[in-house]
Amino acid sequence: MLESVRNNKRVAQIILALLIVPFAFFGLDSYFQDGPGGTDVATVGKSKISTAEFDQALREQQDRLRESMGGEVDRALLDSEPIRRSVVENLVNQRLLALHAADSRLIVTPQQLQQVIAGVDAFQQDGRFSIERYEAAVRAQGMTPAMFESRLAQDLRMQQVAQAVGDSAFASRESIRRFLTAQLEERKVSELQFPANRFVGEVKLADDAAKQYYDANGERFERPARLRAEYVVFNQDAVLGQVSVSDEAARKFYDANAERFSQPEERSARHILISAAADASADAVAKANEKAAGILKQLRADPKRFAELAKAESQDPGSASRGGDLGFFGRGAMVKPFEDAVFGLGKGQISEVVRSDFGFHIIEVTDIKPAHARPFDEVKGEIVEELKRQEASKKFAEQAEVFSNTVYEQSDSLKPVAEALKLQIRTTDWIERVGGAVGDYTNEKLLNALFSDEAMTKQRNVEAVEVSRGTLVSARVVEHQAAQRTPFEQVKGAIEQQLKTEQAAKLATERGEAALASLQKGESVSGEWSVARSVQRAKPELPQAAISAVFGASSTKLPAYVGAPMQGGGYSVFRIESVNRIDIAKDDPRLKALEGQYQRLVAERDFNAFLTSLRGRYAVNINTAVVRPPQQ
Amino acid sequence: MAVYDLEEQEQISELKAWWVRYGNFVTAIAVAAALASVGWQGFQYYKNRQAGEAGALYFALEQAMMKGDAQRTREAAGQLIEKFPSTAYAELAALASAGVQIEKGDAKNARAQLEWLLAKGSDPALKDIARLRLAAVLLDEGAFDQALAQLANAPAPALKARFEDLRGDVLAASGKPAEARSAYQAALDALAVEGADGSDTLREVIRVKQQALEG
Repeated sequence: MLESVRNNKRVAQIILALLIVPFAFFGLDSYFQDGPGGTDVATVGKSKISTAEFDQALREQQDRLRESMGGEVDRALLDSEPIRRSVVENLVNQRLLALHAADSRLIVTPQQLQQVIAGVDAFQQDGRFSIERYEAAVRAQGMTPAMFESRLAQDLRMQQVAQAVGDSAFASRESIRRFLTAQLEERKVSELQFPANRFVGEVKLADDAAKQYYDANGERFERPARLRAEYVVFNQDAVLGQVSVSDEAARKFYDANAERFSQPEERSARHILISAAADASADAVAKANEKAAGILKQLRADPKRFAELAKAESQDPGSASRGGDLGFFGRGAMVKPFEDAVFGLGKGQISEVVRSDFGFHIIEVTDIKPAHARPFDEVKGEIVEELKRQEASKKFAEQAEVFSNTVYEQSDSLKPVAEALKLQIRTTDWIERVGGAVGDYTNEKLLNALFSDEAMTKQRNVEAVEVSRGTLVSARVVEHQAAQRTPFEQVKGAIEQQLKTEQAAKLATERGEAALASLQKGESVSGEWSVARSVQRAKPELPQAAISAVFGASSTKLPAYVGAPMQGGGYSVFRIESVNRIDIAKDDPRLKALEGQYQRLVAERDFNAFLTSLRGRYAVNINTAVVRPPQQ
Repeated sequence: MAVYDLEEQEQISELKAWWVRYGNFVTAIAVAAALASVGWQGFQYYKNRQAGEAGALYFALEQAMMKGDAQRTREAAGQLIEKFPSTAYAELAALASAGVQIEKGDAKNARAQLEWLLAKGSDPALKDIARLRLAAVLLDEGAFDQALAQLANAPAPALKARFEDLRGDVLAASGKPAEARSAYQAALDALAVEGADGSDTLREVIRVKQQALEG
């Protein structure tokens, strides 16, 4: 390299000159914008959605689903294509909005961020924002406050668009009124019924009709294969009884993790803020400083007026109304100059004017909780519990292998594994492939394994299956019965009954339709019409097909006749006698009630249309291989 | 400094000759490039600063919106439109504020803001939505022909069903059931083409309105 530079000086100089230009004007960033490659789940415009991002989003979605369904959910279901697809679509939509927000230069101001965080219920204690709770809650999610804040800022930027496009959507009142008028329209109808059972007597079945049906629909008379199995369950609970923790071990843990059991120093303070942003003009800064100095002078004269002055003068919206009180906080919670001032003062002392990025503060320390350690006896129980669980989890990991190996190596019985690990062998009742359960477990993989030819005929142990996190199950077929067809004689009666009902329904429809045709030609039809009653679209007292027929009929010429199939295989003809369209006043309360729903409907449509339009601006490519669930 | 050998001396004089010949040209290009870069960055700075100020105003608008304060929402939107008309915030503000004004029964101001967005906005997707909402306002004011005029040009395909649905409402309100029926049908057809999930409710609403047309 150096050799060639020497030999080709001019070329090298030109190259160097070219390199300097971007460094000088654009910094190093322009060289590193494209990260390392790898398989991506999708590309949106020029940005990529990585597999790691997808995996995390998928995991979060699965956790949510598991929580909402309660307890054990089949993994195959949680990993199914529709769920994977919805997670990808969601990520793509988020990315589209983020790109759009960036290109449109949408921003979130620090004040906005601060106000939003202060307003979250989960971060509040006794009705006010608590910095400790905030940090604890954020860390519980596996994030630092900085990470959380940047995520939140991203969300808020997207929300700006969602609010303008979605939340502010409105529907025409006339549109809503039109829909409501239709829903409340009343039609008075009387009904002429043709119930199926009236025609059962007329049905003549051919002698071999049942047999033919049986032969043609053989699979309907089959009882699927079924089996009884015995099984063993191995989980952490199974080993928890085998571990114990000594007092010395607990003591050692306590000593080694002293900082976990100690509470660092905390102070409570109140402050008065005169805002002056970091980039404010010199003039504004001087003015703010002067004002702060004035307030400080008043306080020096009469320190008791702190709360009153904070209420009147402080420009920190979060604390002003509480007399400037910020509650207790530890180190690292506040901006540096503020923290230095607070931790440099004694209790009851008032600081000089302190400058931070927010402006000028006057601070009083109201209380100090010194650092202290929790005594060993108080935390011993906690420690023993934790160590026990750690030990059990270690033991479980070791023995899980023993479990898997034993059921595999001594595959003609579950006894060896049960004895080795002190497990109980349980048996199932008869179970079928579809809808079957091994004890509490409905795991697909386990059932598939049991119903394999190998497991059924050779009665071998099936391989250990992890039915849920930390729970292994192995099972073995005790006896099985192959799929069987029920003999014709046993089902003949039922088939005949069914065929008769079907034919009767057909007859009912034929007669009903014939009657309807005559009525529509103006001829009269014999039969017993019901007493006329009022029906509404919104109150479906009739089956959907009938409602649709009655309200779909033109009302220009009354009476009008329509027909519809009814439940139970019958048919009904309806005579529409009168139509009553209610005139809805502009201030009808029912309009107001419907408005919210109608608005949500159009809001969703509009927002989705906007997202679709973004897909036109940023090319979206989804890696379909990722959407398909992985093969097990 | 070490004595140059012959070859190097030759190279140096060559380089000098080259510089005499092209020096001004190279300097001019470097200066032009530097100026362009500084100009571009300055422009970016200016844009970002504008966006920052507009963002703070938009935050005020969001807060007023959340409190349902129509007047302050309108004022914030007005300021954004006046001071930062070329930012995305101005367009969003017009759309957001129009929604709040309608909620408080102030159709006049809602119209003005939507009309501004249609005249001066640059985002075609937002403009389609604004047209749709303006048509809804016009329908409620009884200005059927103007409403139809707003709906006359085809929007992006994703909004087709909404446009045709509203066209059906306008036509039905102006006593043209036959045309309304075919507009509703066009809306239903658009939904069928789209085949998107979650369009069931809208389909049902349109179907009911279509069925209920008189004549």
